[in-house]
Amino acid sequence: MSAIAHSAVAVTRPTALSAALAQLADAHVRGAPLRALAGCTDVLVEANHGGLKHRSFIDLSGLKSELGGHSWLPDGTLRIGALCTYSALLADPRAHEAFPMLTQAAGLVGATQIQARGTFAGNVENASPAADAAPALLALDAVVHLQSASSARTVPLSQYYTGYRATARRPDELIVALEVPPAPAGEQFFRKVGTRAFQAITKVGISARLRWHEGAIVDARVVATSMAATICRATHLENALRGVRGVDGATSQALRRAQDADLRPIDDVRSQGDYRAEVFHRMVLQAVRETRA
Amino acid sequence: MPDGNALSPDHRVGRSVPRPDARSKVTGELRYIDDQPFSGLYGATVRTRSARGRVTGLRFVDGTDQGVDWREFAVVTANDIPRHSKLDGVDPNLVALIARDQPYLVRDEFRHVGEPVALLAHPDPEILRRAVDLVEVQTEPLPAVLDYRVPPTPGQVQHGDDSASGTASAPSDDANVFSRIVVSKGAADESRDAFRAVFESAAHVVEGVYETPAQEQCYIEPNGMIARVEVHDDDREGALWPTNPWKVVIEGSMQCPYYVHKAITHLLQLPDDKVQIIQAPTGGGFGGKEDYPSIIAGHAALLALKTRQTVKIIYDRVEDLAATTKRHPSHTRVCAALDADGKLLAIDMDVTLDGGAYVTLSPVVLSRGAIHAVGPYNIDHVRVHNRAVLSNTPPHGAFRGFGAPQTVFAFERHLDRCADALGLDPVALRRRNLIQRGETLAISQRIDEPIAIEAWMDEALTDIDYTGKRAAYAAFNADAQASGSPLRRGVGVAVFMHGAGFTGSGEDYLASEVMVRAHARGGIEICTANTEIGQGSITVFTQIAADALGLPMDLVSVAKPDTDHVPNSGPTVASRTSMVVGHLVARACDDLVARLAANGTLTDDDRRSADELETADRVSALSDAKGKQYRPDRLQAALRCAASDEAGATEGWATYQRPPGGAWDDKAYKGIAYGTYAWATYCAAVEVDLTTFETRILDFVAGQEIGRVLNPLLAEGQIQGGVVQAMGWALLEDTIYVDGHVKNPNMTNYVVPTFADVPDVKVLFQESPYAYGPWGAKGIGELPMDGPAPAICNAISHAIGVQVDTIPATPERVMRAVLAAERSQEATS
Repeated sequence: MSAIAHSAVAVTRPTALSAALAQLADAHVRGAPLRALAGCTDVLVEANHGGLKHRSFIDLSGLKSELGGHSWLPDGTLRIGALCTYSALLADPRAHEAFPMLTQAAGLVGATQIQARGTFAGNVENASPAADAAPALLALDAVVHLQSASSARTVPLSQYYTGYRATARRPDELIVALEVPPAPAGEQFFRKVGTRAFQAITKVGISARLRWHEGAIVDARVVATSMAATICRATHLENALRGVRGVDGATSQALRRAQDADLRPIDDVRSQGDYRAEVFHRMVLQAVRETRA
Repeated sequence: MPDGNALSPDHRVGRSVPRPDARSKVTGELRYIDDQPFSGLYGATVRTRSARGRVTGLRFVDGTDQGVDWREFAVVTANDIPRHSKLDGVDPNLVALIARDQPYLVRDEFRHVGEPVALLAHPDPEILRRAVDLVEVQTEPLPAVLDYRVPPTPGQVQHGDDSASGTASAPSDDANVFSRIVVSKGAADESRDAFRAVFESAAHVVEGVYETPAQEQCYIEPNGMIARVEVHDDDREGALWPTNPWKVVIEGSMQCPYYVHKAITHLLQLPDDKVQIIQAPTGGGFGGKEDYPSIIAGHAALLALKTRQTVKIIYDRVEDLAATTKRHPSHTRVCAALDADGKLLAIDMDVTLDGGAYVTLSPVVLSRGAIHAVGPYNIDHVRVHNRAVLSNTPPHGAFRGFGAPQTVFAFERHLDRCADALGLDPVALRRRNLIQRGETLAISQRIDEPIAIEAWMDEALTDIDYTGKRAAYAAFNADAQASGSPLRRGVGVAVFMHGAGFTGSGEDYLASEVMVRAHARGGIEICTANTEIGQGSITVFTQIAADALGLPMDLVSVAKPDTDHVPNSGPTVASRTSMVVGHLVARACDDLVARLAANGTLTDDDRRSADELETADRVSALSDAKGKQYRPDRLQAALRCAASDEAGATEGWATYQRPPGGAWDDKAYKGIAYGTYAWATYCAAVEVDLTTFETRILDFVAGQEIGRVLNPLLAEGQIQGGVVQAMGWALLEDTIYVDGHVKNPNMTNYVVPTFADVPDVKVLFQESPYAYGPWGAKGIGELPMDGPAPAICNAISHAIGVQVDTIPATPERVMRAVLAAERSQEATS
């Protein structure tokens, strides 16, 4: 028995970005916003479990020439089109060299079939606190490019999430691309603890960039997954990491105190708060050890 | 394998012949119940939403805005079912199983979340789905048992103790106890004091507590049934139970057609010939389709009777996970008395299984757990006290292993705790206690078959390089500790056995029958009620019959299990299909040949010459293999003749006969529990990451003695599949109950392993033929479920130096065990 009657669903399939944006604007004015479909890897799960609220969709598959794929800007910035799949980026060796934390994250999304359909932009917009690719993008200071029929703007990913499953995108806007500025590969660290090896939702995850200079950390980005209502940077922890030269008992305790000021993970059906906090802390220490030049 | 047991090259038994059903399954041509052409109504189930209470009414909320028009629905409630059967006086609404306490539909009181209250039917499955949520079940709460380990308060008593209900007095020991079994041996048979004295004088006494969770069978195909009613002209009054009965035909996903048949004849008060049950191709069972399909079949039949239309009920994964049976959770205390050298002097165990809300199969699950509790060890003094108790969750039921995995986990884990306490190697401790031929199990069954458990164990240990790994891992862990690496490695072992077939006199009561029928192509059709559920029964039956008759495989077919056309050869459970029913298949082939010889269709002229016979086959001690004594062309001609009924003998029959030997005493719980056992040693090597506390299984070896390998590829697959299922139970799978609700009824959050989570599983077979299995075969279906969890947890404990006593050994549990050990170490230092 299928969960949604197909007759009850309206889908439009524009073949030009301008048409898509016009449809989004029109639907917004009518008070019946459209939900964008890219890989459908989230929508189909919601539909199967009866939680899909939307009945009107805009299918972006006709926009591949405008929104598909990824490109490299002259300064080394990676531009990821809204329809770029995980598999597409994983097929580019330069992505592995430049952004190992991003390709590691992409390679742990679901399994091969999901990676072939799912998109980075869809992962960002889905706003799951257990997202795989979005935390790596956040740690890499990625920027979201939004466009509507009347305007275009960029929002840093660090300001994109406004609450549980809520984003800064207006209903008439579409993510057209994500841009990731260059970052030294050696400072990147990613680790996901899932419920199993693949086809797994993250129980706790870390996406970190630790910049070292003369034996000490001088700058830090630490993004926590499944530790709060949204993926988020742990700012107290980032501050506490500055100046760290290595891991000893006192440093470890100070980092844990800072982490606890940022993150109070909860118990849910997949794991428990005490485990999330302890393992996140241990992964922070691992990140310090492994990024030290 | 000794040469004397070798099979000749022309045997089909012993070879990896391809599965006749493989192609249609791989290509998707095969039609499971939901794939079959269907026109009729869809049925759905309205369920309770709290753990215990009384239903006071149903409210059908207006759903016009969602397209739900209640006038279009058929509704069945318990009020549609009479309270007393005309046939036996028992309430037809109670499922006919061991105890009759579980209703098809709640009349008044209910005992678990997801209990069926009403059935709806409608032509549109989507509208039906919305309608189910619009039926408000109005209830008054009653005190629920939400933790089976806690003795009930008077208000929570729902079974076994009438004196306590409504009074303030404390419930008796029998309150909410579905079944109680005591296994005792030696001093435990004499007196409490004598048994206690063994512990008091022992050099070492080691105690531990072990727990296991509810596990979902996760068959790939969820449950489903289609019911239709053959309405005849007398249908005037529109009643569900007309004077002149209709025939009810039900087809669906199931393991045991005759269990469903028995249940439906009782529910609908119909004579046997008015109920026809057909097994549709079934996508896995693992015990999960042993008893619950009777309820779905009953629901579909009730809706079909009410509407006079064909009704289909298919559960989706969420409904299947939330409402149907799972493996019994268990809590076990083990206390061992040992001498200074590690010889086990006495074992005292208390096993509690969580039966869930109704008795269902709990007494027999408890029995198998009790009998397997102390394993293949020779221990003089044993007491195992076993209870299955009530809790207000959906009933726990049959699942591969059937109680044994729970007790084997506790006991094999405990042996490692004992070894640790005595400073012995876990394998050395086992060597000191393994049972030898002529010694007796805990149930006082003397093992007369020629066993060599220690030698078989050594094969598995050698294969995984147990001794080498113990040493290498000790060095690895010391290095890791020194360098700050978070990785720790360990190796663990479990030694165990599993009895095949029904326990004790169970097979006598079943009195299984098998029939083979000659067909016009000069071969036979095998008619049994045993179901192909993925395990390969069609293939194995075909091999057995082909060899019994000396015919090619393609002249043997297997009939669809259909109660109108096949005899009752018993349920497809208990590792009995190949061993017990396969043996009957061979004997039924012999019977057919004997009949053809007796009536002259086969004559002495048709026999093979002595030379031909010698080169053809060694004749099994078990099957007379009469067919092989005849020339194949002559036998085929005789079968063609028989099929046309000119010979007056178209069928051969066999009925179960108990092997000679001792009996089983169900009161004393002593004697021959099983005619034979399969013996096994499983070894696991693991790596634990102390950053995340995740366990990775590096290496796994499953060694077992199974009498005769009928089909090496299928047998290896059966073992590997069971091992992987048990790996999930050991490390990942946990049913989370909150207030009696299953909180993770989906495949995202009920986490089964994928291939990325498991290593290659090396399978080793030993063959010591059993005289009463076909060509010596023993049952293997459940065996691989017993050993992996203790072997893996023993390996984890070896790796991290901390006892892991509760499964699944999730990273969360391992972390708490490690942190607790660190804290207690800090406290003492």
